[in-house]
Amino acid sequence: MNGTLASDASRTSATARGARRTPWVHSRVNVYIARLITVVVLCLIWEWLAYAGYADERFVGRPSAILASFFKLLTTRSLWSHATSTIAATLLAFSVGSALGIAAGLALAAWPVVDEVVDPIVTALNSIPRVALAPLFILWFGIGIESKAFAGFSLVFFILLITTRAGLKNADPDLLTIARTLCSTRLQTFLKVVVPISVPSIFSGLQLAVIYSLLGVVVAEMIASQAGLGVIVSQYAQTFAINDTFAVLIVLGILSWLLATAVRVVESRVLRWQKA
Amino acid sequence: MQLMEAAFDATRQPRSADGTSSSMAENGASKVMVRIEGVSHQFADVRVLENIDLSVGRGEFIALVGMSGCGKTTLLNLVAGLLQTDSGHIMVAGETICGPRPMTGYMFARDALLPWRTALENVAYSLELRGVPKDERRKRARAWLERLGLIAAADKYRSQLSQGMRQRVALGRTLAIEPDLLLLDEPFAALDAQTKQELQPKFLELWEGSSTTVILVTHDIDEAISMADRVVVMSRNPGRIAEDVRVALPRPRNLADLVDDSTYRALRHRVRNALI
Repeated sequence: MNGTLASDASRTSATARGARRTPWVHSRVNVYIARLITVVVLCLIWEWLAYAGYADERFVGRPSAILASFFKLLTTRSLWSHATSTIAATLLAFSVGSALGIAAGLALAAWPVVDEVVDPIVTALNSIPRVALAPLFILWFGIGIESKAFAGFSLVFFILLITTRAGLKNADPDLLTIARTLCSTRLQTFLKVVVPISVPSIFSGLQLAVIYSLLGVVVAEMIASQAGLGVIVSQYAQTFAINDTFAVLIVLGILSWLLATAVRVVESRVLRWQKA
Repeated sequence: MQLMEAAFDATRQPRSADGTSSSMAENGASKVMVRIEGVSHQFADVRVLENIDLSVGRGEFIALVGMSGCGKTTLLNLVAGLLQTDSGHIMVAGETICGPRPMTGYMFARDALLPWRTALENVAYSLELRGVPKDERRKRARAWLERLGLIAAADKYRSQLSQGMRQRVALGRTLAIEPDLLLLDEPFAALDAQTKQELQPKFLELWEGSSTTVILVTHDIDEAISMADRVVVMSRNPGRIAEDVRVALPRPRNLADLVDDSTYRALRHRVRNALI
């Protein structure tokens, strides 16, 4: 097995330039199969370690039991109200945080004087681990949706501000020169050149932001909240229901993946010209 | 309407066959398109241009040649209104230049196309900034692409176009506004030899028979002599006009055959001596 893989790899590199033959690993379906096999093998090792007693199931859980918990969880009515609560807060944090972050990034790019004044303040605020402020947000906004959405917002806002501004700083000055020679007004230049230039970096910011908004929300939920997946994660973890804890983490993982995929789909639509 | 209309109106012949139309430059003020008087310019404490006097007749094609650092691009940018003169002044079409002028077309070696727009949309861009309605500007952009032999690439993005095609789109964007003055900063410099030999005659074909004034900045002596009515040679440290050579070669010119022309070779010798 090892031998064939190695020879396969060397043949791949040898034919790469000629591109006469599609390498084994470059077929999409094969990549998915290989990934699935990797995950299954890792779970089997985990299962065996727990089964044989090398790892204590009470602490690390066991894949087969986690899977059973997961399917049981899916049929629980309360899961859906918790999930809805988390999703709502995440979407709120993501949309408001992104919109304001993008606006702030564009504004700072448009007024360099303002940027110079607030730059150290932005850096300082962004260097505070916001997750550590979650208890404070709960104190301020209570245990409803506001506090957890604000925790997500506090992460997302700075991510978008920084990526938007960075994208504009690397803008090709030629595009601005041509706009000037064409007697473009400030507003026209902003809308037709500056904003489109910042779109690719805005999307890389959104990719990060979607994950961080969920992170902020779940952390706040784990500390104190009326509802949310973070609430049940901490409940299960504190009662040593490890398999159930992992089952909720699977739900969170799926949720995170769905949100990230949604952003990617929109991105590939908007940035079609990049892949053309 | 200068360039567009004239290029396709076979019956109109504003330019005499022996290329002497430029002699009008010295006559009356209304025949002068660009008048540069006592212009000096410096960047920080480096004197780039010193006391430049130059006038370009309406419909004349002049080439500015010189080693790098002689200030030819700076002079062009001053005429474009992208830079302000330190002393002296520049008049275009009877008006003192203090910023970009709507009827001046500007183009440089880099295409500066908007990568998120198709070829058609890039040509339409200059018209869009001028408030030409959408249907109208698309129609006109399409006509330009056709003229430039690019109609098949109308819906392609910048990344899908070759260097030569990109520069042709940039030319379309510049000409679409139907400028009365064209400022070209080494527009053919980034092209490979073959593409250059396709694009230069194409440009002359579009220009010959028009009443557009052209200032071409180049370091290529052959390009300067073969295309222009007048070659202005600049020296450096600081930039001054060293020589002003009239090119008495008949039009339309066949660029490929010029190399064997004795007048051409004599001119080439003279310009080269002035450069060194």
